[in-house]
Amino acid sequence: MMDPRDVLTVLCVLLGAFFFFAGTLGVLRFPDAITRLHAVTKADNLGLGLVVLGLALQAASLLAVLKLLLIWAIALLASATSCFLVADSALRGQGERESAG
Amino acid sequence: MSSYVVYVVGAGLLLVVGVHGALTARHLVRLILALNVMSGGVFLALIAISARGAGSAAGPDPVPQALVLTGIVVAVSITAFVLALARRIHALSGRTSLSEEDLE
Amino acid sequence: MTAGLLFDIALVVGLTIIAFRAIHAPDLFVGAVLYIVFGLLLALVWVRLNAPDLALAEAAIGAGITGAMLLDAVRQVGSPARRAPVLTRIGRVAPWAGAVGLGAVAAGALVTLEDRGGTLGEMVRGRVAESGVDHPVTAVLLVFRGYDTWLEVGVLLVAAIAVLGVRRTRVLVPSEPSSEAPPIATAAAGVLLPAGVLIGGFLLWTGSHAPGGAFQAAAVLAAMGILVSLLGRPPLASLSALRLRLLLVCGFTTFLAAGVVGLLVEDAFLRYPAAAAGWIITVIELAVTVSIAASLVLLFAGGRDRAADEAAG
Repeated sequence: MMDPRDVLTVLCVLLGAFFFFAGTLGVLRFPDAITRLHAVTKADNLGLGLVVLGLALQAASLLAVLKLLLIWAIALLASATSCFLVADSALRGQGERESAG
Repeated sequence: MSSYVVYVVGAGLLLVVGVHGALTARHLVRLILALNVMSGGVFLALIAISARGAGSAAGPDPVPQALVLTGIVVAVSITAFVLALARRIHALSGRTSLSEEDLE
Repeated sequence: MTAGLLFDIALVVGLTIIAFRAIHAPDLFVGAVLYIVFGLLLALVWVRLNAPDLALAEAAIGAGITGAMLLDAVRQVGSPARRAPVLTRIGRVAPWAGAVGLGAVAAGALVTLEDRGGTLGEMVRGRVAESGVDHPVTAVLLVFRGYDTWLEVGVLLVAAIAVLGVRRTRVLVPSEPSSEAPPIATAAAGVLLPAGVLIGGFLLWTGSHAPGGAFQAAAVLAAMGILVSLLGRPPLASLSALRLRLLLVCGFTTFLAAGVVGLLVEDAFLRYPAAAAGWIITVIELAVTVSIAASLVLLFAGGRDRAADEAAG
């Protein structure tokens, strides 16, 4: 019989992977920089959060849980900021780079 | 087929891409990208060797790992120096490659 | 075929394709971004090959700092060149033939390389207890192959001096604080900077017994310095020339001093007295971290100083 904690971990990581997949699909399928950013930032942050949650259930110590949460917090901050900056520069440049990406 | 074979073949592929790039690239930025890909291939070969075989039961061989760690820092030093040279060449002559007939 | 092996194959194929596209991307900006992806994939490879120290360093230095340098340089010199003139058939085939030949020989030699065992790794593991630290990679870097690391810090120092020489500046000219730095980026930096300094300190401390150490710590600290540079306040610019130089050389000279102490006390360069080895290594690592971080920031900021460009015409 599987440990319920292991089951929860597998579920969380799989769900996280699904959101990463959805985010990546959005980057590939959406038409312009702003909508792509929307997909990648929202879906990937949620995906990373679920992966972190799944791994935190397996962590050996409270310290390891805190480290995982710190990673998520920093990733959230960095992706929110860089999303804004990229969107800002895309709006100003009227998407010069989009055709190349 | 083992992971070792996969990664040393990968090292060979990176070497192919890097050498071909270094031979054909004209723009200095492309040249430094090609050099970095080549060094990535060499690092990959070293670490693939360190991870395999007799000693790996106790963990990978730390000596190649330390060598590659210094190698990564040397690579970034060279990259920075080449980019500084490229900026200088561009600022003084407007050119971005070393060939005589420039493409700009 | 196991799932792990399939993942390895996918990783290697992806790495090769991304590398090719990075070098040959028509738009250099795209090439620089693809190179960052290449660095991150390489960091994943290091994780697969049981080398977490390298994964940390590759993600921070190979992808992060190199990527920032490339993007910044491309902004200045990246005007896409006209397409190269169409090469003759020989001009197209010869580079491929040479590269494939070299790669095939190298891969063939590596695939058939005999695994004799008895590696240096076993010697290192057997004697790591004598070194004064518990993490084998740190032991190799600072004790068993201290020479390499000392001279490598020297390489970084020479590169920093060379970049300043190319730019013909003795100090970094502070650019006027950029008014265009977006407030949201400044606010995020206000949270990231203390966190980054904390993480850098943690990586330095943890390097004595687990993956991490001076290089990774310095890379994180340098990333914070580059962040501040990008916001228009180059962190080294407010220093006097003397202080900047002290920051840059303190790692190299501390290492050298430790080597000379070894020569006087133990009759061998860079052999540390057993009783004090842990302390000496800690002091060297601290000094080296400061110097590497300062050099990396200088390599980035020294290259991007535009004032010198305009002065040179």
